[in-house]
Amino acid sequence: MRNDGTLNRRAVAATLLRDPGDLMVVTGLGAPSYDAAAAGDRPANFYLWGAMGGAAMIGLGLALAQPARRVLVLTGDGEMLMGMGSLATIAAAGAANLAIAVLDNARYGETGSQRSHTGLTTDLAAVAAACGWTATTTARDMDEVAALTSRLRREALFAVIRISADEEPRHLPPRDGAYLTDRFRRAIGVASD
Amino acid sequence: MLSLPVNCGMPFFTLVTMRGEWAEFNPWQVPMGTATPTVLTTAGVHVRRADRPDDVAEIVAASAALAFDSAVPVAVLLSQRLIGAKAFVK
Repeated sequence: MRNDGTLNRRAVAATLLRDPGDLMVVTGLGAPSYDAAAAGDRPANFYLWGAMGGAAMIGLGLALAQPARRVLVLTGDGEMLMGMGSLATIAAAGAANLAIAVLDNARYGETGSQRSHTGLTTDLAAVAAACGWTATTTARDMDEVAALTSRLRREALFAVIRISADEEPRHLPPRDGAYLTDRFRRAIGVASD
Repeated sequence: MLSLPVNCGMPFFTLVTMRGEWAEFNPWQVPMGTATPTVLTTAGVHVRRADRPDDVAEIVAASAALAFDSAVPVAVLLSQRLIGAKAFVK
């Protein structure tokens, strides 16, 4: 399996995060955080700058704590590979209000673009399906991405989006974790006094 | 992963049933069991420990209060002496 991705990651993120409303968004460290920030910084975006492998489980925690809201985890293939066991946990938990979108460039972009497992032998959508996710898909063109935008806000969907390995300029969101946490909590109305 | 609660000022509370420290039969449990309090402390977690049954409720309650009221990461180690060594050989 070789990376066949051609899509521009910034265009994909801008499409997936268009008119987000009150969507809660968790982003995996590195480029997905920059992509979400470039699409428009907002308090209900919770950007990870570390905790690699934890994005999906943070999304599950939010989804379980806020069952009336939607959660979207936007992460990369390397981050998702590190947290692959969470796909089993999430499917078992059955959180209907959580979706995951993996921006898959088949690379570890932050450390020198080494090939990841998705560029070798691993099909993350197939992994999710085997874990019990009933809705999984892989998008390879922008029409398919556009169709994902609403599905990711409606279904418990695991979506892989094949993006190109081209790097974009860094667009850095805030990185003070206490600030990000506090403004996120205020945005969803659970701030402590 | 502990960078998350430490940076974000999130409450984090964990109960750890210990191995590798009291009548341990399995040598593979010993290195991590020995290192657990040091590793957690070094990573920024406040570590408490219960060795006697009579202390457990108070230590757990106080540690949970510390975690959630002061928004810090806290671990309570439930010692292997407390929970009992696992019997491998009858």
